Order: sequence, then structure tokens, then C-alpha cells
Amino acid sequence: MEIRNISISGFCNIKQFDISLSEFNALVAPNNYGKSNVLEGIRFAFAFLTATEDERKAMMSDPSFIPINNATSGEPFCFGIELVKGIGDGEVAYSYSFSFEWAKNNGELGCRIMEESLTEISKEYRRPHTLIKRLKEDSGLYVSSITGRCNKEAKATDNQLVIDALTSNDNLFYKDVVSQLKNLGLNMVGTSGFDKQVLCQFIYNLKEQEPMRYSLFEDAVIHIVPNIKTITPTCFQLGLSTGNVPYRIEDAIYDMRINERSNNQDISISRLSSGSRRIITIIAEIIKAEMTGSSLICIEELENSVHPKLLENMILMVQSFAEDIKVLTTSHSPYLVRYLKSGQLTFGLPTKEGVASFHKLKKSKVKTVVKRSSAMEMTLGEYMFELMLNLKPDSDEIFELFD
Amino acid sequence: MKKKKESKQLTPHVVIFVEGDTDEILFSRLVAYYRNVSTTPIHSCEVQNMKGVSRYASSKFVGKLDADIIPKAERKGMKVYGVCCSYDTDVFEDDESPVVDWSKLKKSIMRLGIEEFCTVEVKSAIEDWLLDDLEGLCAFLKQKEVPKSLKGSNGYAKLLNLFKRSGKVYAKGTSVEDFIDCLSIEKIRNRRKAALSELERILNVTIRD
Repeated sequence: MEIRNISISGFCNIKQFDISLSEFNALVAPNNYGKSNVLEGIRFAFAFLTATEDERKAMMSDPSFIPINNATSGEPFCFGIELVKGIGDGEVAYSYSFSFEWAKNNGELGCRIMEESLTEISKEYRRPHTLIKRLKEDSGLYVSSITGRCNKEAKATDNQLVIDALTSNDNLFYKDVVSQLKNLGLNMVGTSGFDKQVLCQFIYNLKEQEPMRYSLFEDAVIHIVPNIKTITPTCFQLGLSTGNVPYRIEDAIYDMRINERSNNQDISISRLSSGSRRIITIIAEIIKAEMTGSSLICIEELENSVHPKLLENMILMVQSFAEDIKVLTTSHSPYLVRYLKSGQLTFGLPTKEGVASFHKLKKSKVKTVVKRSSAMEMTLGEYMFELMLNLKPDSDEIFELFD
Repeated sequence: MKKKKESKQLTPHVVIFVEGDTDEILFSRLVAYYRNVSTTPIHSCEVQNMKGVSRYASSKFVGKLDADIIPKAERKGMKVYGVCCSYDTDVFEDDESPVVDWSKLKKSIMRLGIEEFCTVEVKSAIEDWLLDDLEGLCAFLKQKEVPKSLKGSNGYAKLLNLFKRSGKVYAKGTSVEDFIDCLSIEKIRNRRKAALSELERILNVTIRD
């Protein structure tokens, strides 16, 4: 099942965020427009779905995410996702959403799940079919059989979702959807993300257990970072030499030895440039996402530390590796923007309230923008980037060009 | 003061503009192939990488010819006699690429004293041309069987999938350097003869089929 849409509201400075996802998507905005909050909000929602009740309680009280912006303060957290399975006329979409009240310490009730719903929309029947509906705080209703109605009760507490209770129901005809929602996987690559041991251990094991995937990894790195000739993952076992004990803790130090064209000896990955390390980390993360069945990869500033000359191949490589996994990256690079189509770009727009406001270019305005950018001898992406930098909250272009 | 050399004394020179790294490598090999097989001596030729089709629509394109390429050629005793612009047709299939007015561009080029101009339409993308020698690609990838059909909605996707089967990735530009020697340029040229005919005329290529 692929993710088609995601929506979030009531998270940090996010008042309302909606995105329909293509294979590769970029949130483009200057600093401090809420790009990272969007990624963090998605990560938070995915984690909430798979969390235990205690973990959810802690999450609903986490001051790092409770909205404090005047325009979003007091708003509940709402998350919506649309999953699609099948193709053509056999396509079926499932729209799932939940909301909760953040913790409050002013005497009002908070820290509790409020609403939840799951709706099926098939191309064949078109009419939405409600499968799960929760309006009361302590229980929800669900459909238990194909011919049934949404009237079967399922208990759900303040920290419980209806889908938690339905996970163990093997007879549910939409069990695959519930199971997918409970196992939504997301891989995140931050701007500084380089954990040498974790990365090198993963690559070492990949070479041992999945030689074909390892071969793709190595070939991808060599083609994006042309200075690298070969990569040799290494593992140094520790504590093997002392006597016979019932349980031996297996500690090991992992590394990747890199052979660069210009060097007279191999070096550790730690000595590579930060840009090369980041490229290796991103490719490894995509392979990991594919192996663990993740549905989405979020990358903070894909262009970070990557030379513009390598960026097009980097984008193409990420797309080809991700295959069925959607990719969402943040960016403030005109170089990245020039390689993408308008449908792949979501722009951060300025607002008077300081809330995150992301919108796509209206489809009906693409030709207008191409005409304007051609006249200025720019690509569509370059024109949009320059426009975005000069926008003010009351600029006419915001209403004219964006959804 | 030195007198400027008369055009007549200068050797004719042709500039082939291409839109990307892959095209640059393939067209360079194509020119080398022409040099080897043509029964008439072909003109001096260089391949210039525009790094994006949108640059054709820019005034910088004609500016580069005028201020950079033509004077450089003249210093080497050559006159830019012909210009060829190659482009992948898939780029113009959507509404988002800047429109290139080829007749306007031709006029601007002619105003620089260049006698010949042509375009090469690469259908739909350069990867489709590379796939013309599937046997050569499979030999490079050490695939024993040449697949009858390839998975993918376009040439690029087909190449990606073909490479993946051998545990390799296809990257624009850099991958082509690895396998270009395994490809039969003759095979590609013969399949794309119609698209290349104008370029061959300007280059003075004669190949007995």
C-alpha cells in the first residue's frame, strides 16, 4: 500500500498542512518557515500509531511539540493519511485519521485521544464506506463483516486507538489496512546524522547477508562520489580470547575502509568529507527503509554538503532506490528545485501569524509561470525559488499562484 | 597591428551542443566513429555540454558562441562553420520546460556568420539510444541472456532495471563512461540514421551502407 496524502494540524507552529505525495517531494522554504516541524510532525504521528499506551501519554505531554504559537495554541493534534492499494479500476483508497488533545495544566481536560476514523473509497463504488468511527472518548464503532454496518463497539481508553484493539482480530476483512497503519514505517535522515557504528554495522551485515543489495549500495556510492574507488566494510571482534563462560557478550568495532583515487592508502569513513559521508548515509538509509518495508523516507536538506554537480544524480539515485517508498525532503536550494517538476514541489509561504503554511503551485498556473520564467531566462524551479524569497504575507502572487 | 585572418583561410569547424553528460559522452564517441569510417574527411568538431535543455532558450547560449567559442576557434585557425543542437524530446512533453524557438535561435546563430545549423532530436531520451545496443549493454553487465523486453516506462527506467539485475546502478554520465566502450556505435548510428542525417551532412560524413 502506498501513501497518497498526509495531513497534520496542531503541532508546533503547524496550523494546517496537507500534501499529496508523488514519488519524490520537496518542501521548499527559507529558514524558520516550519519545514523541519512538518517532518517532525509526520515522524511524531507515525510513532504515535505504533507506540504503547504509556508512550502515547508521554507524547501527548511533550512540551517540545505542544503548539505555543498564538494561532495554534490550544488546537488538538490531528493527523490524516490516505493509503492506496491496487491500480486502475481496482484501486481502493483508505483514509484514516485521529486526533488528541494535548496535555493542559490550566485545569482543562487534556492528554486524551478524541476522534478516530477509517473510511474506504473504492473506484468501483465511489461512495465512501466508513469502517471505523470514534466520537466518544471511551469507545468506538467498527464494521465487523463485509455486509455489516459500522455499529460494533470497541473499547478505547484515553491513550488507546480503536485500531489497537482490532489488530488481534483475524477475521476483520480490512485487517491488512489496520496492520499497515499499526506498522507504518518511516526512515529519517537528519542534517547531522552520522552514527559511525550503526552505519558501518548495517553495511557490514548487508555485505554478509544481502550481497546483491550491498553491490547496489557500493555501485551507487562509487557513481555519486567519483573519487571513491572501493569500499571495504570491516568488523573487529572484541573479547574473544578469555576463558569458557556461559554467555559471551559479543562486542565489535565496525568501520568502512575507503579507497580514494588520490590516496596512497585506505582511510576510515570517519576521515571522508562530510558531504561524502552524508551521501553514504542517505543511500544506506534508503536501503534500510526498503528492507524494513517503510512507506516514507524523510530527508532534511538533501542538498546539504552535496556539490550541486552531484545533486541531479543524487536525486535520481534516491528515486530509483526508493522505488515504492515515498521520499520527502526539505530544501532551500535553487539547485535542487531546478531538477524537479512543479507537482513535486511544495512551497513555504510567509504568514502574518508565523504559522507554517505550505502550498503547491496551482495546476492552472503552471503555463503562466513557465511563460514568466522563460521571459526571464530561468527554469520554472529557479523562478519559483526567486519568487518565494521575495514574497510577503500579503503579496498578490500568494493568492494568484498557489493552491 | 596584426590583420585578422580571412574566413576563407580558416578550417571549417562544427560545434555540437548537447544537453547533458550522457549525451556528451555518446556524441563524442559518435564523432570519433565518423572520423574512422567516413570515406570523406570530416570537419573539425567539438562537443559542448549545455547541462540542461533550458539553456538553449537563454541568450547566454548565443553569447557563449559569440564571446567564447568562435574567438577560441579562430585563435586555433578555425571558423565555426556549423552548429548542431541536440535535445531529448521527452523534455518538451510536459508543460514545464521553457519553449525553445528554434527558428529564432537559427537566425541568431546565422547572424554570427555561421553557415549551417541543424538540430538532432533524440527520441525520447538518450537512454533509448543507448538501449539500441542491448547486446553490448548485457555483455558489459555480464548478463548471459539478452532480455526480450525491459521493465520501465521510459529508457531511463529500463536502464535502471537492467542494471539492477546485475547488482549495479545506472547513473547519468558517470555510468556511461564505464560501458561506452562495450557499445557498438555503428549499431546506434544505423538505428538513428534519420535523426543524424543533417548532422552528418554538416560534418561532411560519407558512409557507404
